[in-house]
Amino acid sequence: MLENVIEALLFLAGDAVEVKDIAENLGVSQKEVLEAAEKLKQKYGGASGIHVISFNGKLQFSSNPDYAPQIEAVLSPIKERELSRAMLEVAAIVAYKQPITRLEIEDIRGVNSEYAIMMLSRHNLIQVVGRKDTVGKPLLYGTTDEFLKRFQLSSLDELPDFDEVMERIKVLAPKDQTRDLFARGGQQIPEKEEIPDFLKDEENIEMIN
Amino acid sequence: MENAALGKNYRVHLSSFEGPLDLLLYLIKEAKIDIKDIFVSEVTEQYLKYMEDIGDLDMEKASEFLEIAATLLEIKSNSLLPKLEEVFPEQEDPAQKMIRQLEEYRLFKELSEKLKGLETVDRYYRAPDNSAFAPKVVLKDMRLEDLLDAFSRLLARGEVKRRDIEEPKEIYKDPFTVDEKIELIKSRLAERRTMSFFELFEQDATRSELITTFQALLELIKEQFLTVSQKATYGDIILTIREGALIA
Repeated sequence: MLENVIEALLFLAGDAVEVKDIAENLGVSQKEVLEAAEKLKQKYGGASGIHVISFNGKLQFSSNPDYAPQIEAVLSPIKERELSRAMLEVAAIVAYKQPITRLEIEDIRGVNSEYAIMMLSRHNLIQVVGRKDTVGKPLLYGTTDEFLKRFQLSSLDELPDFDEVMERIKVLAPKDQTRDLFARGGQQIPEKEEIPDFLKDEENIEMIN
Repeated sequence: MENAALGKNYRVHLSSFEGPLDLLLYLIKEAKIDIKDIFVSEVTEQYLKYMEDIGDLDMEKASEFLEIAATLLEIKSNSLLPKLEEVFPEQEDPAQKMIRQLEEYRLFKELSEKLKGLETVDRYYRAPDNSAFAPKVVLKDMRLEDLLDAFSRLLARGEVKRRDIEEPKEIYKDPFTVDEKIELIKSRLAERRTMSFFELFEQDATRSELITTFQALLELIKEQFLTVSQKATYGDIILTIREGALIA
């Protein structure tokens, strides 16, 4: 039975296993894997000491959160602290608005958010997902698998009120879309840096970036 | 509206707010008005009164509160003066901008509360057991012989440059242990994630140092801490830290 095989895999792997990997390597469809996973969730849900969790196309065994106190008493695993209000706000903003830059996060909260962003990165709840193609090429942040696990979500569209919030965010978008701090009354910053006139004749120019 | 009449002692302290927008939302809620009515209410006056406590905050936080205070005053004064030609028509009206900012922040405050309801730190996971994964995965791209070849080449290079073997006057105790070299490789890879085998050695590395480092490398391959690969025969060997490798 596929579910028994998956059961063995999850036990051995410890870490999350991708549904895709299971399907490809066992020669079954992802649908079959997901159906088998559902059966496993039934077997292990509820009062069972082991739970099956799924997130971002992956499966993993986790301990039943109800038994955390006893587990902590016997095994002393490292327990994460709950997030502070500031970190929760930043996490929420990143979750719904990703990818987003630090400056954009700070525009929403109205306060410096460097510390919260640093701590969330350190706890691997948010990560750098790229750079924004504007002046300074600032870092863009997004959420991680750990974020999904901590908030018990299978995927980002399970975020509370996802659809309504996405609509609301569009409505709330600022009127001037080019929120460029250095914009001078509508003057566009050129994409590529131009060589100034007085250097045009120089031979050994090397463009940085 | 009673809050405006109460003295300082009856106010929630400034430091308990996340920031100026947080304070404004609190005042708006207390006044039981809509965000869009903020400028026809006493909320801005109440906010400015709160600025009396600004000295209790650190400089950074204080400046954030003062910035909004200045914006509120600007909006207030704009409403009192006759309307001028818009200098930058494409920019958002500051009053509208503030209202929009407050609505957006309130949305995310609510969302963060909802996320808090979902948050759990009570789940634990098993760390993977490395012995379960076949070592063949590690040397998939390169055979042990290739590794030894590359190392011999390095030794030969070391022979040419050797300084310490010309006239052995003293025999020095080998200053490097395998454990120390293991630590060195681990710490280098922790920073750089991937590096060349040859970068582990200085130009004048002694032969015993080369051998010790190589032993450390073999040990780390066995421990599944890193993987090795080689693009071409006799080419450079690339060490890459394995995902999930623990830096003790």
